[in-house]
Amino acid sequence: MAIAHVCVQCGRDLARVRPQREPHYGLNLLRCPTCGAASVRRVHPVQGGWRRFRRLDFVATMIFLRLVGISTLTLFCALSSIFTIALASELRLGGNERLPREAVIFAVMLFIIVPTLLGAFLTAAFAHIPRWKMWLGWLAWMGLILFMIALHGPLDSQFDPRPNPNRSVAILPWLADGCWYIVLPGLLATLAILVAATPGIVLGRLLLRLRDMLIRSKWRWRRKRLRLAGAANV
Amino acid sequence: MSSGTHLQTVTRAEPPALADVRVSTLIGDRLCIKCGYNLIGQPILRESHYDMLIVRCPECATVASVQEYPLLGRWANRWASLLAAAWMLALVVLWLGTSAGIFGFAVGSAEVATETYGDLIYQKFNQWQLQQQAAGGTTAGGNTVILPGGSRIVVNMNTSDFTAWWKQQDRAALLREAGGIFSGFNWIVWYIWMWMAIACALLGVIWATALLARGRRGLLVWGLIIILTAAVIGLIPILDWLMNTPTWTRQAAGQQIAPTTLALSLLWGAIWLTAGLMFGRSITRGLIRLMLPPRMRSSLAFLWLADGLEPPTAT
Repeated sequence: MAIAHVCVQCGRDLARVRPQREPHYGLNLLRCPTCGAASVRRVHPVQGGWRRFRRLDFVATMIFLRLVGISTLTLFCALSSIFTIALASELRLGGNERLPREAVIFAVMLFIIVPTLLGAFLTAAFAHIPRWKMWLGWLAWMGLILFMIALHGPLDSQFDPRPNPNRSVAILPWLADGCWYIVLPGLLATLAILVAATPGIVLGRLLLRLRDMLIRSKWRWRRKRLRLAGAANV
Repeated sequence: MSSGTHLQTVTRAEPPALADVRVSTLIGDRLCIKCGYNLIGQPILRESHYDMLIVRCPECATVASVQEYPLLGRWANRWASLLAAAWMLALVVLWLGTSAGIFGFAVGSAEVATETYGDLIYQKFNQWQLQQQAAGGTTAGGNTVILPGGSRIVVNMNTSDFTAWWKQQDRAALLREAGGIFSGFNWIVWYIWMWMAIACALLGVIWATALLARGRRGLLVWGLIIILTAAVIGLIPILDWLMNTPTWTRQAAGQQIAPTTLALSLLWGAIWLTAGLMFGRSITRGLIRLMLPPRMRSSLAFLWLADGLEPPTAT
């Protein structure tokens, strides 16, 4: 029962009048017993607020999932880049020596799984952004991440032979060396990953189509359930 | 009239009329009850079937009747008060956390900035100790250690010796010799300041988004309050540096350099916090535009409406 629902025409309290779901619009309609005026038992603001909260929660979840996706792929992309630098360094220093099989398998995994996931994610999650902008943005983002990695000290004496930073070190040449040893090769590796990510676009498009199909089916089911006027045309 | 009669009345409804009369346009922020789409800007129609005023959602075609709501019960207000109190508490915690964070960065950079000068004082005091030992004086309850490079230091030194020595020194001359008050501004301080700038700007963005009802001037005042709180917390180490007689080199260096560095760090934090506060909502809106497709943005329309901007549309 509503707390108070006053007829807009005659002022009678309609709180005790049971509304019926009318077939025309699917609204909870009631007629005033005194004057016959039709009015709608509206959803209470508290309930409306709850729905808005649910909607906001859904949007926040979407943002959160995208952030999780970005964080995970950033981590794997950065790892792939650093691993590529290390691998290239091994190849350069090792000469004709064969690489361990695990390293090759790992590299293949990184250059097949990570790029495919990256391509699918960038296509599906950021379909509203022009693709070239998104991919350039990802390259810039990875550049920033690689710079932050370079800022945090020498990684390995083999491919990052900078000294450990202390108070007396000249920081600008040290940073420039970091860009040379980490950021530049890392960006080239990221570029290679992005090129390898193009098959992921197809997967991303498939995901988008699947999502649209699910939304459409859900909507049709709902319309049928509510027996709205247009349900027969579906 | 019984409810059964109503049902009969409504089940004999005509098919939807094609030409509903457009009465006006919805100017308020009103979300569709089914899909949450913001109905602002949609035409208000006088539908021909019941002669009621309706708004139709362009996204899911749900009809919303434009009528007043019934009165609320007591519990709605109680829950609203509880939520408001929880929000207030969260803001107070965030306020203290922001101030404490800025203070932490400031005191950290002040400590680091004193290291260079502290080292110089240590060397001077060490030289004095060695001279005293060589002269057979009464000093220094410490032992001389010769390092691999050949240099000699005194370990286990008596702090009362240091206090006595420090009182005899021309501190201004010592500071000049070290390179002045900014001698300690090495890259480590700049590194701390870099993270301080990032953290303060981020906190500014969070505050600008949390305090949606405040305009730019209000946000500036709030930023000032945060920095003043950080400065009040900063009085604790400043008083410690200035009021107590230094018992060791770091404290002595801190007495001369740290308060200025701490104040400068707070100023640096204030600049970035202000930048975050001024551009915070634009940054948040930009991030939302980046993260969400247009049809999902309507639930966050309040971020646009707070600055008097057009709410996001579905296209």
